[in-house]
Amino acid sequence: MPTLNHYLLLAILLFGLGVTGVLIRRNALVILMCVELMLNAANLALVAFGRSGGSLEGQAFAFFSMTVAAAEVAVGLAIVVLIFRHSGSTDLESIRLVGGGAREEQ
Amino acid sequence: MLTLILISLAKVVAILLVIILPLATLLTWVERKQSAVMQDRLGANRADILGLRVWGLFNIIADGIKSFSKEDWVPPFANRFLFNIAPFVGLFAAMVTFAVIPFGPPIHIAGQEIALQVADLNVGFLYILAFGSMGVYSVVLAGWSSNNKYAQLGAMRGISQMISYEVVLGLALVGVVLVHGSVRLPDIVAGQGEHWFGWIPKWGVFTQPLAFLLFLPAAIAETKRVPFDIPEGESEIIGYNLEYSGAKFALFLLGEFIEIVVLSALLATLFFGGWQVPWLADSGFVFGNGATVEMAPLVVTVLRIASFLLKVVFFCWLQLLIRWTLPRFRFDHLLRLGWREMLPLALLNVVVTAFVMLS
Amino acid sequence: MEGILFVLLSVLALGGGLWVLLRRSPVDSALGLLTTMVAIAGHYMLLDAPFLAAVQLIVYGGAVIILFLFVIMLLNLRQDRLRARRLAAGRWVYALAGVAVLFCLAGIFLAGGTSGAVDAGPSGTVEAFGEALFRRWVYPFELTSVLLLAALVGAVALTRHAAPKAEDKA
Repeated sequence: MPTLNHYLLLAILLFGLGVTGVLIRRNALVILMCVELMLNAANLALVAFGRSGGSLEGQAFAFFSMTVAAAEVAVGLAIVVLIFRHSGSTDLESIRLVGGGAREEQ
Repeated sequence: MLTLILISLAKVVAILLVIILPLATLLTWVERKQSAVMQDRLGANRADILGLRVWGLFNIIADGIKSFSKEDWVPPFANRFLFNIAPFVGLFAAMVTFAVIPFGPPIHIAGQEIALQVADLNVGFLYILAFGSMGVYSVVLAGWSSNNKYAQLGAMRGISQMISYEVVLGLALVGVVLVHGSVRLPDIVAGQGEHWFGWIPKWGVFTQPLAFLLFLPAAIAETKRVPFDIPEGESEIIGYNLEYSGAKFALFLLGEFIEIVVLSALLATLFFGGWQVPWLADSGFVFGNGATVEMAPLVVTVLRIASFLLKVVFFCWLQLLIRWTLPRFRFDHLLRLGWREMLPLALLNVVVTAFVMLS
Repeated sequence: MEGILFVLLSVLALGGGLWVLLRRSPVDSALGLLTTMVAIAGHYMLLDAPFLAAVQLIVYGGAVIILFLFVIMLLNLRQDRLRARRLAAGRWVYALAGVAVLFCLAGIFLAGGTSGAVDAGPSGTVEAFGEALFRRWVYPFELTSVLLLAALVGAVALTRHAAPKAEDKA
């Protein structure tokens, strides 16, 4: 019988994976995916907390966070497409907006 | 616990062996015959066993043997794993959708009530939407793993089409859910057992005509068949299953036919009363003018299951008829139809239904 | 039974997460993410939240990941080209991330006090959830529609404005 601690542990590990992904990957798409991973970890924790607290609040929070995540992905992907059109790559390292547009890949 | 598992297993086997697989395999032959009839041809009739032809029914077996004995070709630069699982994903998504469809009234055996439905889920039609959308992965994986630009373009057309029409599909169903006040399919079917003035059954097609008119094309778009077959376009353009051959290609076709059967069952359940027979109550026929015909419970149950099967067969036929009647859409027309015409209508339907239900 | 399912789903979720991180091909990453999402939907079922599980499958499985895959195919990103550089420059980041995870872990478990069971709450059925959503949280719910509309308009505007610009340059 899993307890709240188990769910929290799982959520922490998933969140950690998400953080690590955002830090080590350079493909904008994969970074967005890792952000989704973190959001989901948070949702899982919310639902587990709600369950142990005896109300539907956790689930409602998770529901709203899902809608926010969906909106975020729509806009995020639109930006990625824009970046790709601008610099021909989804690699965040190759984009230097401040330095004047796209930089050639070394 | 054990009996419960056994009962569920029996139901799954019954659905697979009585409804889905026989109908889907028969449809492979019916489609050829239907097209032949509509185009003034004879159609498949050559396969024979010892000179026996039975209207070409043996062509089903011949088709099976042919496709399974062909070379199972995997393109050299393909992603083998994804390439191999793609057709199965489609089959799986189509088949599991059937789990929530009630194919008969609850029956009583040895004092136990058994629902003729594999899983009476609380989330009902949301489950259908969830697993219906899993079918897209079959197209995506097939198109991507083939490592072929034409397959990939076909898959992209598939994604755009399927996610566009999924929205319409879901919104059309919202109207039905609003009318019956429940997302559980047994409730929706039970609600359709009532009558107006004792004569007109409260079927979804009468309570939600607009939803039906939106659901049918949207659902056909989900099955990717003519007039919505742009992802595949077998006659001129090339689609996502371009690189497939032999048994795996046959699996794609089988998946398509299973989708037809599932869609027919959905149409019957949501818009045509499911297993309900008009004027047939638990005790027998009760007509609007007060006339009644008493019937044994067993007869009533059999009639109801038969009516469900009949409706499914009818809608399978209707889909074949549509497939061989209409020409294909142009892709921009298809997307415009989905987003600019059907979506606003679906939203309007939801709003109007909600106001009618409130007043 | 529940314990076994929990372990199974957790392994799936974490495996999918690792897959997202470690695969070179973005499509593989997206499929790993899909595995994680489905496993989390399973967790929601275990937590007696069937509505949320269905929404998870519809929103993430049916829309978000499909959208990712669509963009990957649109841009034809077959391989992440940057693997060779990633390892060399990213080593210290690995360490940082590991420390961050450990820090979180330690924080939670040192704080303690979360020994609750997870079968206390009401079941998140469609009826119960709808009741809560449209009574208590009806304003936030309505606001999400504004949010979604804004995102819709934003996404369309972003990609639409770019199209003529790209043509101008070419």
